[in-house]
Amino acid sequence: MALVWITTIIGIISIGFCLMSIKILYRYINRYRFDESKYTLLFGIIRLRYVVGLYAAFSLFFAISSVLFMLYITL
Amino acid sequence: MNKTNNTDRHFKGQLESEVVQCFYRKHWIVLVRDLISFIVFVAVLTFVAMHFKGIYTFFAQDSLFTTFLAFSLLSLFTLFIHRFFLHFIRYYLDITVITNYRIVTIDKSLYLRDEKDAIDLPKIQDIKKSQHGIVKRLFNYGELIITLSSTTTTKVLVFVPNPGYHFRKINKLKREYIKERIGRRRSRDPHGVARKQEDTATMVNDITPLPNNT
Repeated sequence: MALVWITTIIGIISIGFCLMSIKILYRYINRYRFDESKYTLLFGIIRLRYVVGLYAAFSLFFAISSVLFMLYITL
Repeated sequence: MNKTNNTDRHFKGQLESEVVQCFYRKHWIVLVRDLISFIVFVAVLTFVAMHFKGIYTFFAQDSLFTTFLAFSLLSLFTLFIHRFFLHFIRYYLDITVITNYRIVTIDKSLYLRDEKDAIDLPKIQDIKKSQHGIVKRLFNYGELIITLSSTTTTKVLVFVPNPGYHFRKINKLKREYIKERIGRRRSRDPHGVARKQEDTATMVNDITPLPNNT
């Protein structure tokens, strides 16, 4: 059961860190804006907000799935 | 005259009359190593999902070793996810801005780095574009080597995408800046040229031929 608790704590810290990073990032990019329309996107399609979305989704998915995995093992 | 105040508009330290002409991020080739490692990571996760039963029976053993192993793997995977995305975000924040006065390199990450380096356009003595190697030519990236007039040191801008365009742009801006500065000096001192001509004439008159003693 201790493993489940440790995994849950790691998951919460991970999600918290991700949210804090996104908050810092958006505070910075909203303060110093560039005209991105003149700039070629990464690989022609990837915008920063897609990366941020993927980051949040991945962190959340990984935290939840690892807790579920540990619960499945221990219970 | 309505003049826009650009102070700190696009980056911290931007001057009032400084206008951003263009900016660039490093070439995507800098992300290749991270992308490959992320693909490997996703492949490992897929493998785990596919062989769930075997991994489950291994971790279901109630021993201190398996607990420690599970904890370590989980922590490592979590750290890896954050490291990968923070590197990716850093790619977006690490930019070089070319303005009408200078070239500003902003090397920033979310937590650990915040460096700025500026090169004034009139201090640039020489710029060299370098694209050695088949990969650089194929993906169109390279280096801009900038020699400064005040020192013998050079400043190298690496992984510049489309270096030909940025090379021409910096040269053009430098010429425009010098022209503008000369124009400003003339408008401040409209008789400066005339005075210079007058001075030259005086100097010529002062040079009297030496008396011929022979």
